[in-house]
Amino acid sequence: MQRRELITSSAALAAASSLPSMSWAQSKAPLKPGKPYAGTELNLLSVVAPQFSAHERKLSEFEALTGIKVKYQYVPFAATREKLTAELVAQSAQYDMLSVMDVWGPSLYNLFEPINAQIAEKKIDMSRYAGAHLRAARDGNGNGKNILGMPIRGHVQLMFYRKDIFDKLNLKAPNTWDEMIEQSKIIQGKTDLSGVAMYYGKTAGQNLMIWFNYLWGRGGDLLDAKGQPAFNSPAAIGATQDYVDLLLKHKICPPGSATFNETDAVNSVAQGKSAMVPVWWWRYAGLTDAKTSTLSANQVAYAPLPSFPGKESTTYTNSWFYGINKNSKKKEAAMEFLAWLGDPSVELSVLLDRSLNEVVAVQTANMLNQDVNVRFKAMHLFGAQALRGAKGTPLFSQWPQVSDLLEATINDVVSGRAQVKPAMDEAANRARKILRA
Amino acid sequence: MRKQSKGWTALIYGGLALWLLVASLPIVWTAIISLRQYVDAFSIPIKWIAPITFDNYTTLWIDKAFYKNFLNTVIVTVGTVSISLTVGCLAGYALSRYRGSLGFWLLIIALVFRSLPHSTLLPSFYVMFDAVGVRNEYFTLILVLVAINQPFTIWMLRSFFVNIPNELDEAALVDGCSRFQAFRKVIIPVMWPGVVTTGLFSFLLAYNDFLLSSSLVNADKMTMPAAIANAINAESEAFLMQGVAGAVSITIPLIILVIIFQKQIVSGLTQGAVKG
Repeated sequence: MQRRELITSSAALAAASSLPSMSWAQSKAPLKPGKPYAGTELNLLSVVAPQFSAHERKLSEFEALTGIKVKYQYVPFAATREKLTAELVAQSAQYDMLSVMDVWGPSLYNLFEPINAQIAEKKIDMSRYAGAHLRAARDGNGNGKNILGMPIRGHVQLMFYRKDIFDKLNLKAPNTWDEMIEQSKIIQGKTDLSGVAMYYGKTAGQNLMIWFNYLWGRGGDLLDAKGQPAFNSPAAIGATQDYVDLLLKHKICPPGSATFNETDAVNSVAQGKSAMVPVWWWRYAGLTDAKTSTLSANQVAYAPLPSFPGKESTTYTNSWFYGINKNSKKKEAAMEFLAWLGDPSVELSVLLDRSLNEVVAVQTANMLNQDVNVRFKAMHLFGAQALRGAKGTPLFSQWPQVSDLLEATINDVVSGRAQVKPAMDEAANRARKILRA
Repeated sequence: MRKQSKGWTALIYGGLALWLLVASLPIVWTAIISLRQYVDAFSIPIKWIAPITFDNYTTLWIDKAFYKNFLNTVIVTVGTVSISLTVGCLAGYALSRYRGSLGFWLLIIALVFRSLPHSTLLPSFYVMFDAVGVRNEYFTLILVLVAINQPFTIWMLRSFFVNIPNELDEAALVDGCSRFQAFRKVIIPVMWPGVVTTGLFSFLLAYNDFLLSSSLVNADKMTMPAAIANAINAESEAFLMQGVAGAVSITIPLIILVIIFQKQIVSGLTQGAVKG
């Protein structure tokens, strides 16, 4: 399916209607017969997310199938990495399963039990996950042979835009970054809205998330084949210049964008101050909820992120997997849970639950599911399409430091404290030292 | 003393009023937006007047059972303050009267321990508590908070005890008191403001602790700061407003406490500042 075919909601919906539908009530999870682990109680360490709360509400189904009880132990996101590291160092068996975000993986591989054998025994087809999500659960910086868990939560980026404004001005969702600039200028000329809400502030690397799409779209990359910084290559410098020019040259971003984080940018659209925002798909719920937004679902539409002419749309990704603690005494029971939770039917039941507005999916079949795409107006088709060419999050143990360095550099540039080329060269020099350490 | 001009006085009071406004604005604004929906709380431009709702509080306290976190906080805080003050008073008194060099080194060791970042201690706590099977227990969290807090309470209480003349002890002993009776019936009543001040600081440490509560115990035993962080960091704007309501909820007991003990706090701080 080509990107152009999907670029409007009507075309996408037409495409969605031809997709396969699946009854979500039928769990085909490969569980061991006879409830061999009945009476076992498992502890799962998890961060708070509406999707995980939805899973928790379905635990009675799992308990009925296996006799295993699972207790979700929520931990604040801000303390999660520290806690996981402490669990690793202490070789603790407090938690049988733990949730991990992709970028933390490389420093935590030794915390997890490889589950290749169990996956083979249960005949779980891991190709059901997009590569960008599955690599987060693999060791060897995403290229190893061991699978350390099941991808459970994953995000792609979409371009959210004000459908009512676009319709009124006879505009189509932008296919390219240049189109986005042109449309932004038209919108700014004819309404009191800013064109596109960007977030260049320093908050946990958020100002790099759209930058990566410029980088990849221009043919650049973060590291070269030898694992050395490549983000100051001519292509990368051009990409970075394009990225910051949205604010500095074209002036199509709202006031304050230099210090905006992702939430500020989304809020700018939700408050009717900006016409577009490129951001994670889970933001849809907040953009269309009357408690959090001035907009209704009819006013918000989405499309794949723009790209450069002739290039496929890209997306940065964020993935979480659930793995089994290497020190757990209940690994077999934990694998039963992962097999159940990882079954597409569980994810599908959450997606189609009308009492929720949960869009997050990592299973390709669900992203291509007709009912899902009808409900969410082809959002998941766009997501699946973006994931096809997604490179995924950088996975190397020094990435958090390199990320801090790069986000500070980008922020310096948009704040007028530095120029792109010398700033990126300096960042590359410092990144080399970090990578050597 | 030269009389200040009315203009100068007005300027000083005006400046103080402005400073009070600036300093209290974040707290007041947080309290105001906790009674709004997210869409009004973070509106652009700012809405000075918006519909009031108690949804954030009812969702937090009832649906999300925040009262359990409140009770956890009460248990942990009361336990920590009680043990810290009991041990701190005894140790501070002993060290204030002891003249040997060992006392000095004990205080230095306590200071070094206090200055360690808490996160560096976490892995060793995990190993120890896992080995004896007491992780995820109230007592464990209280024990760690006491251990971290104790050097501070000993130092602070010692500085108060040092300012009480030895003659008081001696008079009590001459009157027939034992050493402990002298301590309990004569010394402690004299330095009550110091105990209250130290107790308040101990209370704040336990009450506001995030790292240890979020790391050592599971969600069912977490204290309020960790539970609030859970809400604020969740990928949902609606959860954020519950976090805001939680932030206000957690502040109210502190305000009440300061109002009740303001006389002792000021007295204790002044005593420490002038004579310590």
